[in-house]
Amino acid sequence: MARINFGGVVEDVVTRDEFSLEKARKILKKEVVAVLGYGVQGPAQALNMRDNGIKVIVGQKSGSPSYDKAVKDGWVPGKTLFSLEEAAERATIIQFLVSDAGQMMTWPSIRKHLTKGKALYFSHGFGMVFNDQTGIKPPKNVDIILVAPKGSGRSVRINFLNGSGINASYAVQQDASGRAKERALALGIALGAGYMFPTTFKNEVYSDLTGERGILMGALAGVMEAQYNELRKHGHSPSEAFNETVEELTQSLIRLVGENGMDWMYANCSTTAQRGALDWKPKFRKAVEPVFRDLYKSVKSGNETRITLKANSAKDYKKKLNKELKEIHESEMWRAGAAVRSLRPENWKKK
Amino acid sequence: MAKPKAFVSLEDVSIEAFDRSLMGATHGRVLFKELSWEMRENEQWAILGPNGSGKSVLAEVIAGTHPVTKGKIVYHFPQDKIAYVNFDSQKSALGDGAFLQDRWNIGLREDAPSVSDFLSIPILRNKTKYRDVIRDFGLQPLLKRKLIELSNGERRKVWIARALLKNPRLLILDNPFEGLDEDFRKELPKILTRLMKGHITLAYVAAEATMIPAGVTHILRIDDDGSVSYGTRKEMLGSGKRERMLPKSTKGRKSIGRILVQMKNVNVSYSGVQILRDINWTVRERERWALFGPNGSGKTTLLSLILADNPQAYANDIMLFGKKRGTGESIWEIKKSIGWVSPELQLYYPHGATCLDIVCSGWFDSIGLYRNATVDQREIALAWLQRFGLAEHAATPLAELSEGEQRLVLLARALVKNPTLLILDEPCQGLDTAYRTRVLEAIDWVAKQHNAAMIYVTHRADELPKSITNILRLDKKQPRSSI
Repeated sequence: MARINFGGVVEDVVTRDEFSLEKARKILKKEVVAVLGYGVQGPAQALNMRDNGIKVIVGQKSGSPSYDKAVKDGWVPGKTLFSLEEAAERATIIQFLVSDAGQMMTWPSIRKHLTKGKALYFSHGFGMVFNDQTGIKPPKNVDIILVAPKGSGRSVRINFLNGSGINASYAVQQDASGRAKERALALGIALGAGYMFPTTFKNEVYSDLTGERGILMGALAGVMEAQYNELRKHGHSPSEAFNETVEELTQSLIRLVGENGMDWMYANCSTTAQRGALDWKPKFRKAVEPVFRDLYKSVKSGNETRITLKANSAKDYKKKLNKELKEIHESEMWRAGAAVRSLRPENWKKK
Repeated sequence: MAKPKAFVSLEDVSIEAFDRSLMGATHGRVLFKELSWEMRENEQWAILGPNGSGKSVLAEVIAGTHPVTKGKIVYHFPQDKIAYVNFDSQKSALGDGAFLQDRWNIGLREDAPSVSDFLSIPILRNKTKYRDVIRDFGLQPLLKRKLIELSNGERRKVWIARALLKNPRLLILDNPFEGLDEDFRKELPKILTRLMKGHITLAYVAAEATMIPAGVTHILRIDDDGSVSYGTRKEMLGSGKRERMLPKSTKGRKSIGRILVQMKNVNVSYSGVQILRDINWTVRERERWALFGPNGSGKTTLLSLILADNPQAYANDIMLFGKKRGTGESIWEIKKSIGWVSPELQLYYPHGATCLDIVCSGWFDSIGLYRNATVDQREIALAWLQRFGLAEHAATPLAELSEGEQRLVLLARALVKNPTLLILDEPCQGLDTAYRTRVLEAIDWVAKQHNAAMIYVTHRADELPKSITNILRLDKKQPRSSI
């Protein structure tokens, strides 16, 4: 296990050099891995594991578009492609990769095939951590493990095929067989992970829900809107307000931050930008700290889960949701964005 | 007699190659210095030059997509009436996230544009013209397919067709005949000749004079030393050579080597389109196969089954290197035995990678280098670059090399590990005689020296290595094999 220093805190990271594909295949030699759900993560993990020589079957409701996709990807009905339930029955490791809402619905039919010695695998801790709400309560005599690749299904597949690999986190919630950890690590390597970071089911969910509600989407969209509106209020044109708020961020700045870090960015901008950004950073932090405090509390208490599950189960949710999405789509800011994007040099060359 | 009016004028133009993968232009090697040249109305031009001479960059300059470092270029017609087709430009339309095996990975497919989306150009209003182009290029059966699903040859047809639909005044075609099958290679010159009789001015860019369309009146030639000469076709050329035909079959020979590839009744279809039908094929040690077939007949898909790049291999009866697919083998064990080069590999390989790293990635069968190559591995890789005359470019990013030079780098990547099976999918596409000879010699040498088996795809007889022993011909309708 490689011990890597993250800014003074040492973490144990498993690499594919120490935990080789050979080793993973040995550990999984007698296992049948069923990937339930051929949606987003399902195809990537199933295809990669099969390409690494693991015995994989797919469980997916027949007649669905995802089922047709599975057939086109070389899964053979009755041989390697089954209904969710039949795949769960045949498996020794059940990868529960249907959507969060779908997990609740299908759980009772999966539950009965979770017999002694099997493993239940997740790529997201949601269903387990909030199982007082989702009802996903596995028996004591099975392993409960998690591997969460840090990327979309597509990038999990692309990074596997080009030979680079993808980072992932892993966790063990329940070790009934004594092999839970090696099973998790072997599955991680088999699906193409290069580095694996330890986590827990709770930490995976809490950080994931906080991240997407916070800086990745909720906070990002919120602060963008606030700045855009302020610029507009003072008479700046939509194109100018958008350029200074979004375009410069996405087209140049964030890439540099990705490559070199925010510390580098601070050290390598104009003196005017530097002084101001240094002075305003603490003010913004102070302003949003209470919001993040509330957010984490709401995630941890299960409140966020309650809201999500309740909304998703409402009959008219799709309609309401579309209305909300339409509002964003038709806002001046994002319409201005569409116009600005079409004027990028690489786009006008294409015309 | 009044001189014809000027059409495009290059005035004291200097041109440098630059790395397109970097943000902004960094200065590269000087290709042309103070070049003055003019295309006049009613002239049709061919721009000829060996690989690496800068002919494609010159074409980009005329197209207005590559800046000049000195001098200026004057258009005597609206500049948006230029249509430019080259190999590089294909990738951008496939989308940022497109990857090499995208064609065969359906479960992860995102919304991708279809051929008819791609050909629907807003400025095009002339329905008759659309119909004519679709008919001339035989594109009707492709319209509903996704761009990402097209074969190399089909993609090239679609790109040329799209350029014509823009109704250009100036049509610049960079190596348009490469990758086309025999039939369409005869058809395209006829289409071009018709266009030239109409209102289109053609700039045809190629390594060699053999395929210059009949209507071309003038030639600009770039020599090995970088010097430029131009004049009428008559002044510049003697009589052209005729193209040889592909052989129908070879003498064949009874082979008793170990079986490397065995396919039984292999079928591959997508959305009702049967790409491969009942293929039975055995490739043994030391056999050197030529694989022929028109554009879209499934050659590359057939090879993808051997390269372990196609998930449908698991739904078929295929033995590779003594093991049936889907019995616990990993794709990396299969790839280890295969050295491979193809137009798709060139299209998708990250162009920011350096040549030496690319050759080293052959040891790991990766697209990009993600592991440390040993000193020995790097030395062998460098020796291959040397063999191809590219040692000085070891640290150069791929993007800075010409198409022909890029091919050699990828060929070195394929050869570096002395593979059991060489799969060469149109390895000479876009190469001039000098490069082609080097490539073919290297291939024959490797085949002989290491007794490697080989599968070789081409549409052209003059690109066939001497060492071919067997032929497989794929038909559009009914594939059959002959030995």
